[in-house]
Amino acid sequence: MREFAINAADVTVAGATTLIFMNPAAAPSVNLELLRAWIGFAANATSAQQKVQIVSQVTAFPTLTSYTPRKRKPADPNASVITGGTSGAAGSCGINASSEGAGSKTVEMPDDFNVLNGWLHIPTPPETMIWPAGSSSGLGLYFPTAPSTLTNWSGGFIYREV
Amino acid sequence: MSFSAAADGRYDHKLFPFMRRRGEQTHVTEAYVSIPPALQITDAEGAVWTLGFDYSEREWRAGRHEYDVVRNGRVTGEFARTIEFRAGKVIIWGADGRRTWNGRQFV
Repeated sequence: MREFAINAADVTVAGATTLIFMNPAAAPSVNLELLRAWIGFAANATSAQQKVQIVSQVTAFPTLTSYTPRKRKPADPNASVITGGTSGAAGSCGINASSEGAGSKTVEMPDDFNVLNGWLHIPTPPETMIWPAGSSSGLGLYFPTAPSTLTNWSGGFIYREV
Repeated sequence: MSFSAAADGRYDHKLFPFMRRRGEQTHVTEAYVSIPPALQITDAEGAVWTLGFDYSEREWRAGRHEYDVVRNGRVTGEFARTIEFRAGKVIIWGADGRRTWNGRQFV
């Protein structure tokens, strides 16, 4: 199975921000199955609760820092079908949005966590979200409220092409 | 850079800053925190625990998704579904049952 990762390491977020965003390629292509999502924080040791959501978003998408998906399996000769981009458009992905875009977000999975412990979502195999090629929406890892400290956030998606 | 541990068992700390303690230790994780849904546990020795990205293909295919247990960014050689911090002990749960860190290894 071909697996890839989108990873933000030690970034400063703007506030209520999409930390990770990926958008499947236009059909016909492979679908994207979300295997893992995580958020870590390292700015200080102050206990605080933070909301997080996995959301879908239709156009207009967030404005992002481009990020080329990394292979989870180094021996895989193929690159991902989605590529780094700043617009969040179909077939692209990026990190740490500077603007959220006007497209409406739909909450797919809401959660809360203590920033000192971080947050890790590993669905069991029957629980994974599969985002189909040609979908009108992309999938984001989103802070619906601004964190009390904006610096030193990490986060990521692991996805499989199916 | 890779999303797997290198041959020496270390993960890339630039890619994964949450895998190790940064600076002087200032807190110990409270009891009963479990990974997942937490990302990391800091024990009284200052060691940072998390689940890595490598998994046992054999276990995965059998429906038991387990990942490598990582301490301070280095693999321990153990795989588990859950890491729990209870009564000051780091405990892992997996196909081999419940095992506890004794300061050197899981027993």
